[in-house]
Amino acid sequence: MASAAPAAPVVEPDVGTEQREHRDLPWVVIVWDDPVNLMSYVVFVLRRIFGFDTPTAERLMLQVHHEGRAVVAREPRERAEHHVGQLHGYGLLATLEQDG
Amino acid sequence: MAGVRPDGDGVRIDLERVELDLVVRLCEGLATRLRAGGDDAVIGRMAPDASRGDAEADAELRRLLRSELLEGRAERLVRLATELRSWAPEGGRTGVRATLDPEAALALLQGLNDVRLALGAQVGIERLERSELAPADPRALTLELMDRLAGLQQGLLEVLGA
Repeated sequence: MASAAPAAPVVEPDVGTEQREHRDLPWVVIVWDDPVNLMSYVVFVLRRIFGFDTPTAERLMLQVHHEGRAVVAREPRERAEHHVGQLHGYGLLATLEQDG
Repeated sequence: MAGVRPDGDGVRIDLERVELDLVVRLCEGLATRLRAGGDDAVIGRMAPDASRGDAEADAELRRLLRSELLEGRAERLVRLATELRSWAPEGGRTGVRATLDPEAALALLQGLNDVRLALGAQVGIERLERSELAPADPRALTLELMDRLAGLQQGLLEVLGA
């Protein structure tokens, strides 16, 4: 499993502040509501993939259920892609997008 | 009537033979469907979009993930069907009992979920008003089947999630 801890930022004087900030923005993993997945299954999958405790997983599941979506992770792109792939493997609807 | 109970680290499961055969057929049918490819509601649900609102990034990601996801799922379903077939008793017994280690129980949980997602996609569950379906509507029967499979999933979750 790719574990991409971000490297310490390198000072690059040629890159404008705005551009650097955009590049360094983390990505978010979003889980979307769907009419088939059981609530208990969603909790199970969130616990299994992200290692959440049960109250955290239940809170996120309920947010998905009531609001239609929930951000379940904020992390570097490579890791977010990996997690979306895992969520799809379990049959959850999940997407990633750049934060901000 | 299906029953799911803890058994050591694993799960003991009792099924009617007819239920077992049905789950096997559903898993094999879905695996065949996934390998046939194409693009319909079932395939779309089994390999959903990885991003929304950015078609270019999505196309790139989809190419990377989609075939991998579909083939991985098909392999998983075929493995599960083979495992389930191995539970089937010789002769005329109607009940099936199997003890699953946690890994096998997880495979069954995922397979049941895949089958339910596919059935839901087939009947267009996103736009379906269940209360408006006539009892003899084939879609109503599909929803009943999905409920039965959900009951089995729930039993597995109660044991695995404990």
